[in-house]
Amino acid sequence: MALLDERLITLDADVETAEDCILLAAGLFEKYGYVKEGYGQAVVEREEVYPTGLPGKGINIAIPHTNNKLVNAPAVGVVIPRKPIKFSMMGMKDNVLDCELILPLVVKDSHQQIEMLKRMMKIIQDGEKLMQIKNSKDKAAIIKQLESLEE
Amino acid sequence: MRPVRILSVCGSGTVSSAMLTSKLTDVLEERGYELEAEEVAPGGVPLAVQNGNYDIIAYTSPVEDGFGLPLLNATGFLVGMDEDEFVEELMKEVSKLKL
Repeated sequence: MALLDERLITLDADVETAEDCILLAAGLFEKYGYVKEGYGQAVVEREEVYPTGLPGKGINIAIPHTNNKLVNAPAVGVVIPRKPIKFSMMGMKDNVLDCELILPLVVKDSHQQIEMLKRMMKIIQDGEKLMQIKNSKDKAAIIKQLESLEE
Repeated sequence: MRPVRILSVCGSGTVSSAMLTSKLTDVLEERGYELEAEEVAPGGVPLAVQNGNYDIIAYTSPVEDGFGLPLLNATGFLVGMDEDEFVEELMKEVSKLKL
């Protein structure tokens, strides 16, 4: 199963809240066998307690995720919302960020996936790349932007 | 010289803390230090501190009680904002250690 898959990308997503984004992505993860039933709800609950909004350079993003309990295989999803979605900031719950790019992470084993997580960290520090992903109109272009994650 | 021991804390005890550990490793190695780290969720902090002999706690999810250890908020560091400030604070704490 590929970490990146066009079927896990939603462009111009008609979502209103962080919960909508999470459940949308989780629905796709479940449909294509990456996670088990209940994963989405687990991420929603975790997001409330430990939010994942991150202030980026020129663009705020969110990386909703949870532990590996209901995970079959690792994945990285992409949700580009039609309008910015409010996520609380990681580590500072009272700060609410308008996020324009949501990258839900499905993690199976963080130690085995450390190289992927490191590359993800590079991407989330790269405001220019994040803007390019956000402004992409086609899924193949987004996969291309993220393909370093698969090396 | 012994390694710097950092407890790396995030909400799930896996994802952000693993990213944080790898970034801390790079920063400390560049400055000639070795890092020994463990990743936990906030609920795992008391036990880890009791058993682990840590010098510093770095977190992306607030830690209620640091048991007297220096607590560093690493969220900005993780995303590359306020990186210099974090590193300065980190190195200030490291310089106080007897390694």
